[in-house]
Amino acid sequence: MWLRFRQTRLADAPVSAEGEVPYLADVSQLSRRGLTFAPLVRKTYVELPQPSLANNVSDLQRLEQALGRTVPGPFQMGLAVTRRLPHLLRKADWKVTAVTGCRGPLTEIIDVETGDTSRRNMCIAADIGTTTVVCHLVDLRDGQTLGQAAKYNSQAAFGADVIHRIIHASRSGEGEAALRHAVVGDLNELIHQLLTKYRLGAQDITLLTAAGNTTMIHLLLGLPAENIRKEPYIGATYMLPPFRAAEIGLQINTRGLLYCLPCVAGFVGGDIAAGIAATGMTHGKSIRMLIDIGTNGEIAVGNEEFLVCASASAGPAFEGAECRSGMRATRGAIDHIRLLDADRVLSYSTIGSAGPVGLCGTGYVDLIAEMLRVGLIDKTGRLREGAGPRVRLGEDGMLEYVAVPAAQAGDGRDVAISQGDINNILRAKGAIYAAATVLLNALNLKFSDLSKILVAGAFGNFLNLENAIFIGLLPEVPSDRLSFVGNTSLAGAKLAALSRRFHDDIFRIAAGATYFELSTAPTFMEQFTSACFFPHTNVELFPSVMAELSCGRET
Amino acid sequence: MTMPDVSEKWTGKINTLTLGATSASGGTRTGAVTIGGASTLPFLSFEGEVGNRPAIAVDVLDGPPEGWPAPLVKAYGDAFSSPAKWAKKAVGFGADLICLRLANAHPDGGNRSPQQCADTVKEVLGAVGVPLIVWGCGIDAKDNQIMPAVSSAARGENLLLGSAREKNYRTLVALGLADGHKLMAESPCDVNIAKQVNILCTDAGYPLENMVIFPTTGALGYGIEYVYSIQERGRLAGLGGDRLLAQPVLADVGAEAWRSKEARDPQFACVTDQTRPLWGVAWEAATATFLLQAGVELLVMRHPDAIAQVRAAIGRLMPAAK
Repeated sequence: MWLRFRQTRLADAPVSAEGEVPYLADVSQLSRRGLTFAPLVRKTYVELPQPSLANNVSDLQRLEQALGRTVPGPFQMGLAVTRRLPHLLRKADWKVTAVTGCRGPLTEIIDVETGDTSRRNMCIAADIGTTTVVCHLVDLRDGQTLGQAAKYNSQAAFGADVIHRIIHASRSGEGEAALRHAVVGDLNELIHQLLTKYRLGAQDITLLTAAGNTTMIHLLLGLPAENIRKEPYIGATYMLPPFRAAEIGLQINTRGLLYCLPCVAGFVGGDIAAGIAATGMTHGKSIRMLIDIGTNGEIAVGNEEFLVCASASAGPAFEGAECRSGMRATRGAIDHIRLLDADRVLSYSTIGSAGPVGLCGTGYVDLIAEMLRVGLIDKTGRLREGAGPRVRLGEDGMLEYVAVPAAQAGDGRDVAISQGDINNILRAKGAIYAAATVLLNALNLKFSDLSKILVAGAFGNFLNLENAIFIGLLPEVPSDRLSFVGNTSLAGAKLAALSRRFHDDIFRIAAGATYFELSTAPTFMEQFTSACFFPHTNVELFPSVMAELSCGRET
Repeated sequence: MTMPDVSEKWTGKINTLTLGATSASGGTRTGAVTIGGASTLPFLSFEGEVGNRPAIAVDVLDGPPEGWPAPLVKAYGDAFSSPAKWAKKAVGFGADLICLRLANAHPDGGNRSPQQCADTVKEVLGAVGVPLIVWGCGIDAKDNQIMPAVSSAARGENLLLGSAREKNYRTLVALGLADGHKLMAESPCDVNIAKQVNILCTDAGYPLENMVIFPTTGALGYGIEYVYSIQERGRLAGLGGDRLLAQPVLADVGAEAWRSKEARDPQFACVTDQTRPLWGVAWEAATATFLLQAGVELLVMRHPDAIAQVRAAIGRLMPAAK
């Protein structure tokens, strides 16, 4: 029976906000892992004793002494703040709020504010994806997430993948600036949205933690990225100290700090390092795999003893970009769909229960699985002309299948999937499956040796894992070994902001990870061709899918 | 000390497949050809069943060939004037089957109509009693027009229809099912795609046991070692129990070998006017015998001397009549 339908809900998932997965980034995750709540940037209100002949330490020393009772030192303070300090302390009658941030072993007194401003201390946790940029606004007093905003990365105008963007950036100084301004502009736009919505000022944001792939971080910081593209794929730096966010034009507190999470290699970035830390897969003896489905599909396998990462270019299709009716997982996106037969849609759901205007990644996974089940496409993904009344020739000359006709759509336009979309998804899932296979083969492991396969990605609320197996995006393993963990890159960025130890853990993870280069693995192309088939050329790897498909064919 | 037995035991077996139908089975052929059946690697009779002898089909075109090299023109003489004469000549050269190529249906060639193609097939069926392989012109849209006419004109004759490909298989599958023909599944030197085409055809309802794999052939000196390893991998998988790769394999030797520079116009210092015509024959025979080792059940060839040499080689490798 193909009518089975199972949604995989995240463990302990609170009611989700529109278009995003709540996941692991809950502050309660910290205590569960024995980590204390200790944000990277803190605000501490102190009342300093008045100076006297008997207590004649310097102004800075006075502040440090008071601060030292709750904030670990040693302290450092920049010249600009030190210059302002004497006047400010006296004007504030020695009642001030110190903003402190971690800089390696030192604590920087970033700023000193008059009076008690400690209740306005916010952070932006950002996942800077090749295709999608997501920001969460987090209250650093208690770690609660106030809100979130997301948009497509404007760098897409310079190319859908990192390679094209690197080429553009390395061509000229203007090219580099254009890409930097694009992503900084995106972040500022999202920050501005959040500030307006929550009635906060830019000065209230003292911290921005950013997780992104190596190229995204290079382009954000204006680091030369051209060597990432060329063998042997070397980035300028993978371990980044905190910078002043204003230095790259981010519109938060002018003294606020930007922490970029560390990368592993040219094509394994801080997003995967953050994800590995967020999922806790380096704890314990059992071997787990993390599959981060993004524009670059990144795979990590490991336990407390070892960690190996690989990356394969998958394209932006799972994030809905560059597709006929593709969209981000936001209001009006079809995130789940079932077909009754080639002619009829049984049901679908949209994010925010709004009128359907497009398809997001989880919607594509469902739709393609269903099209396969009802025979609209064959195992190469080819749409059949005349397969049903909803299959027609699109404006671009490609066959397409209309999932929701214009009359029922939210914006009066057909929601359709084109042959090109299906091909893109086929290649994307092929690349991810092949990468996972080659990496496991290199480790002399099989999918069945993994105690858990964690599937991450920012492409929808809930991934129907059964359908993800059905199209061969994920291997067929017992269902209790698969979990969808949402946007782990963002989760890692957020937890890093809230826990200094977690932040340091990510650096340890990045430093200890082994990078496995797939582009030189002789078997990758072979595995890729093999995986570019629904569900796989080696159908015997997917026994339940084969059983289901042959049951469905009763004619 | 006794030597350990190192012979391999395989779980799979290559399908047995019969081409052509005699009057007893509803056709008009005077004999049928059965291929396949090996349960071990080619010619390793000490390990298991080596199956039926590889069969040799001989190329016949639907019109006089253009640019064929002198040794072939000399061998066939005026038989090129009609497909029927050509086919008879080929049978005289020892062809087990005729491989009829409807090349002149090509839109840029003769652009012959479906009816003309069907007539050619009937003409050849009438002229010879051996089974037929019928190949379209290679242009999907045109093949989808001519093959229905060809197939129904030869209904019951148990042809081998060529070729179903990843992007165009539904028409041939439907014809094979409707008119009782066998199906050739073509893939571009890729064992994954070979398997995919087989899956697609079976998904469309075509029985796996009626299929022949055509993994694309390359001549000696033109990537033959790659072709060999692709064929060998497919064969190892098939013998290893992968039913989707356990079909007999076809190699298009004649067309590929005679395209090579060494066959058409050898430039080596040792070549004399006397030996020049032998190069093509040797090239074709060498390509065929080489690929036989990787597992080929059906060879498509051209020159009578090459055919004779390969036949003799098969005889030496499989001495006892099966």
